[in-house]
Amino acid sequence: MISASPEPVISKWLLLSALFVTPLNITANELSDEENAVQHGRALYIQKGCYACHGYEGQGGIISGPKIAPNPLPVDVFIRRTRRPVAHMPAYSNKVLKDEELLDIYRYLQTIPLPPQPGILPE
Amino acid sequence: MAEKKSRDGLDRRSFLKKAAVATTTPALLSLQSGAAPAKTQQAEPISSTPPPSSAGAALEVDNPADYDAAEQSRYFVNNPSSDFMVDTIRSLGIKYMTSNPGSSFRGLHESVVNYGGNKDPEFITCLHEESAVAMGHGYAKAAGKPLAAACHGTVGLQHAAMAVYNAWCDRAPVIIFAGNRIDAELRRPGVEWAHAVQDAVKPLRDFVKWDAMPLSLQHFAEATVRAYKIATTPPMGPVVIVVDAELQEQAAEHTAEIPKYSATVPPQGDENALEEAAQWLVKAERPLIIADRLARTPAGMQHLVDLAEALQAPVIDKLGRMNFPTGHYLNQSGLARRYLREADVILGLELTDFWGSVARVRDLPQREEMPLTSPDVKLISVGTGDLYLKSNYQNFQRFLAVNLAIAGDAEVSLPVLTRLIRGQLSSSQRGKIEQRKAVLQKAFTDMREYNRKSASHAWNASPISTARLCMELWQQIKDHDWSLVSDTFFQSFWPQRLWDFNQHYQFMGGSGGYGVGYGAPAAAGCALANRDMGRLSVNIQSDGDLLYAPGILWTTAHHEIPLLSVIHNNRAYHQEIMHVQRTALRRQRGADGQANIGNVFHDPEINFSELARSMGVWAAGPIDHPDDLAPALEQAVDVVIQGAPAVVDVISQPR
Repeated sequence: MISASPEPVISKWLLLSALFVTPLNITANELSDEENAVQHGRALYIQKGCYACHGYEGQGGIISGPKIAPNPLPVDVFIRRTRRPVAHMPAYSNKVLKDEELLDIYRYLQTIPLPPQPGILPE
Repeated sequence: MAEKKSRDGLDRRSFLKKAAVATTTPALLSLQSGAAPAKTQQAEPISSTPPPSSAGAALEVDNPADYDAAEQSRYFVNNPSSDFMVDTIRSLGIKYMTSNPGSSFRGLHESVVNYGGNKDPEFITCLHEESAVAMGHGYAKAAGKPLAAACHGTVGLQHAAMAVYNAWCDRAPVIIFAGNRIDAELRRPGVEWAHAVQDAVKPLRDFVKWDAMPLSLQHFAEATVRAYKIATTPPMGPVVIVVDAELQEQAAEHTAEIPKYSATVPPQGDENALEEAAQWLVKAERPLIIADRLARTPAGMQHLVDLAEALQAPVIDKLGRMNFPTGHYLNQSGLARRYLREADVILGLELTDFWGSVARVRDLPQREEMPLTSPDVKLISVGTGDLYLKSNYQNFQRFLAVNLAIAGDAEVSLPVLTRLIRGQLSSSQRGKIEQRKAVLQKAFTDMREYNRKSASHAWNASPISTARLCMELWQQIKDHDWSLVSDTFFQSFWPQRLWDFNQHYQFMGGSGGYGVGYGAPAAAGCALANRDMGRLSVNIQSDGDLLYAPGILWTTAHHEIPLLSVIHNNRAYHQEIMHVQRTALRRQRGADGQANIGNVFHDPEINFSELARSMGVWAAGPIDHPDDLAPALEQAVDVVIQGAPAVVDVISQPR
């Protein structure tokens, strides 16, 4: 379930962005509320540009933004740092990202699985 | 990398031997025009020039008998001046001339391919002047010497300008020859006027180290040797010699001699000042070394290792060059913040930006300044940065009042500094310094383990993470004699964080001027140099950079330049997405994907493998599943080892 966008170009971007990660091949009414929230959160994570600095799986980047998943910060800290970031991150005010949207993003981040052990990496 | 037969059938060893002979050309060559060549030349032809066949020689010297003198003058030019220009270029050991052709240097072009036999220099066909100069930029860093780039004087130099600026900022030598038709009376109407200019170098003069417009052959020889000398003396930089079309094309009428080239010994820092620096560093409790464009040669890297070990001081490598082995425990670049905070003495070596190394400005509406060091830290700089500056372009960065500024080439100054430090160390100081070792070794081990753990995040993601891309690539190249010929900033420095760099030629630094479009042609230039040394060149290629002038792929195919390009295809100018989004959020609007407008390559998506194949380059992809990466890379490495370029298009995460 993806929020409708008032601008056609944005709808197109959302569709492309969603395809870029994983196809959303289930319909909203087959999902629980929680699953819907997670799917919505994932779409918002891309739509709102979180992925741009933190990567599609929240893994972060040394030059762009810190790792935010798996095991995201406690929700209150997460919200505070999104609204009033401490370093370079721009502030997401409630005007551009509603509280319920932020919580759905958080729900999505909570679903990101732990990575494999570093031992699987080639030496 | 396996030895391969070169295109003329020589194996590499024979080829290098032959090349060595060619570059030991007599430094003093003379030229006598017309029918009265100098006696020395009659007795002993210029050894660097392949002798023409007897038929060819006859054609060159003797015009057909049925042309009278007036007709000969009307139709033919004997002993063209540009032949001498080729001798001059050859005398400097220049192996290649990269160029997009232009009529204002057709005389020189013809002499390179016919008189010079298209060897030393060999003409490398580029499809854009920016590619030609950027190839020269990369080549200089990989080969340790410059090549020549030839440009049309007006349109060509303007196309080349961005690449010249990058080379200037990166302190890299490129010898640029720019054609021009100076005498207005001799210009044909139309294009020759549009392509002629009073001051060809004017648009570039703010970012070239020197330029000249010789009006005679002697002037040309002296200007070219001087230009080479200036370009290769630290701080190095690009130079331009404007070559008048008439001068190139007319017969040589005067004796001219090529001056003997001798390299200028780079300046060493003042020994008294180095002595003082040594005292500070020996007494320091927490010394820190920061290096940027330090190691011009492999010796520079070893000098820095010697210095760091003498002090047991952590090294922060800013990656302007391959300064310090990534597997050495004193390479603590990933812990820069900690060491900057703790340091009591910081030694900066050839730093482009000392201010920006010890402070930062946050990209917030108020542009907050933030020092990263303690207020009483002592700062020492050693480098050539203070020796040559220009005022217009601001790449010299913010002024920093260091405590001790030593003007001199850091690479040649380091052995002296290390000797002075060792000489000053008492036994108790030696013991104290040695105690740092275990702490630093532990910090290094923890840092590398942290990097591996960080790399495991999003390991199985699609789009493929940049960490996975880099580690799959490492797995394929690590047993070869490899050379990474691209910068690693946009890949979050994963190669330095995870690979084992221990040779000077394994990393070349970045563009210098941050001008997009440098990466692909510079990688090709590095690969051209590496081909002559039998190394496997590997390029992690940003998609947006390649799209500036993708014809460089054809150049690598045409000239059989072995280069593996792994496309970091995030389908965007991603840095700009982040910038526009940041700006929009400050204004509390447009956080719904509008930042992508103007910055992404969707609709239609670009297929880099098809692009590469269309230019004769082996290609795989687009690959968007990480498990498909290793087999494609393995095939690509095989292709490159056989002497051809290859491209693997990888749909990747942004950073």
